[in-house]
Amino acid sequence: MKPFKIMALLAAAVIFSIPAFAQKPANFIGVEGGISLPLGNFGNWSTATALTSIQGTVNDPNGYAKAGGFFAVDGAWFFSKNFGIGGLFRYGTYNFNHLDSLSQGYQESFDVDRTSTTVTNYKMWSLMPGIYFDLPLARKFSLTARGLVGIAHASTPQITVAIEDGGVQDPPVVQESASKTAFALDGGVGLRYSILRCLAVNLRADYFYTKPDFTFVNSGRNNNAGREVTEYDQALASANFTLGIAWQFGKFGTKK
Amino acid sequence: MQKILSSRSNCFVAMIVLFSLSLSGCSKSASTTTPSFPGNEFLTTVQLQLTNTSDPTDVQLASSTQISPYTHTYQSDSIYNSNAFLHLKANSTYSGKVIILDQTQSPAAVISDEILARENYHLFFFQPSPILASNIIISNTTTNIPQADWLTGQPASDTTAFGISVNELVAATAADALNLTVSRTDEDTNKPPLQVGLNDNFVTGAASQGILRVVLRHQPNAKNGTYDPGSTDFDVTYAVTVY
Repeated sequence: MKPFKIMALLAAAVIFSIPAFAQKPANFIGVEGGISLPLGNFGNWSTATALTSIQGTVNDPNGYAKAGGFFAVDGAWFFSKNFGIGGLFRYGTYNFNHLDSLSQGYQESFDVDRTSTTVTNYKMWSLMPGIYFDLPLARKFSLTARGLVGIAHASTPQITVAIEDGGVQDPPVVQESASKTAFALDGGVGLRYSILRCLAVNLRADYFYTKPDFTFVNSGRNNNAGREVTEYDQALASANFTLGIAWQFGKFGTKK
Repeated sequence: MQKILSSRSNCFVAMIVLFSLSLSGCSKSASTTTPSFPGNEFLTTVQLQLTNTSDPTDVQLASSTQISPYTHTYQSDSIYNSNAFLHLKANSTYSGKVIILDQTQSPAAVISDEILARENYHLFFFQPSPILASNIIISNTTTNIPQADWLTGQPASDTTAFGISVNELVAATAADALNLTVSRTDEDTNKPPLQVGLNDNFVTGAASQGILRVVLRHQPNAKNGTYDPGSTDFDVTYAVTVY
């Protein structure tokens, strides 16, 4: 639902802004970085109690993603006073949250002296062309927006649980990392301030959505107990807050 | 013109710096260790309850315990075997059940119920001794303990009921062997299912005597039907007479 709200806001901004200014915005190529807040099940986690299963395994819909960081390169060419076409390449990672809860769930499920859990992180890149919008609010200040669709490639953490009981190392439980490419969309609004004729600073907030259907290989699973996820068909959605810098070029609007 | 170029160079430098800074924020793997919580139950008492399938009045209850019959308290370094014996009729089949208790609690907690709940990574072994070498069959469906894991070097003072040594032996002849075979009758919910051993069949042959060692193996994510993986939750020995 959220992406559609953002698209509606973008559309409204476009409709109200078209007659306001008569300058064509500068084309740009920019780099940016920021923080990404996982939304929904992607950022949720389960308690150790919910993950404890002594007879049979338990599924887990949660992604345990912590707020992550990303960098991106984007650019746009404006073919009209407000609209342009462009694209974005973004790469980011998310660390694993509430690892203790996960580890304790295995420890209680197998009733062992100790579990040691090691995880890698989520990695995700996306490549998305789309429509860029620019609405000058003042001489150096613009409201910007973009709506992008494309692909995202995500890989999940590898989770390795070492089990020790009675002084014996038992076989580790391993959920292998999985990768998948899926349709993705991104929509957001921002502000652009031109600090130099060729240089602008961008501040923006975006909503990002993709839904890869991961299939996991669980290696080293000998007994039916504890958390075991074989498929993860959940959205990897996030709210992304970006600070960037853009090199502006091409035909600039006439000074007034 | 030169000023414009210089300005654009500065723009590029600024962008490269920002790009480099954002790349440096890459994240790393994480790990944690979770120890067990205090307050686990004690396995103070292991009982074998056997019922003759041809004669339901023939019920045998053998008990090995760490609860002192004198102080009625848990003795971590002692085991009381005065009731750890089975008198079984020859050429009979007994339906057996392993009952594990925590008698430090009042009333005693039935730990075998918890073992049943956790059957997917627990497995019982029953080793009669003396046993003919030809009768030692190691597979993922037999109850024999591999010879490498037998008790063979225990001091003479390490005995079970009637002062019989707990050391295990290979019988030189059939006449020396304890004529007792144990097979498990229950299975867990692993896929494919594996045997558990809380419920068993005890089949006797001709009159004989010896010992029966019972071991519970805790095999978290390692249970495969064999003895080796995991660790031992308890290891007790009963005296057996087949008459």
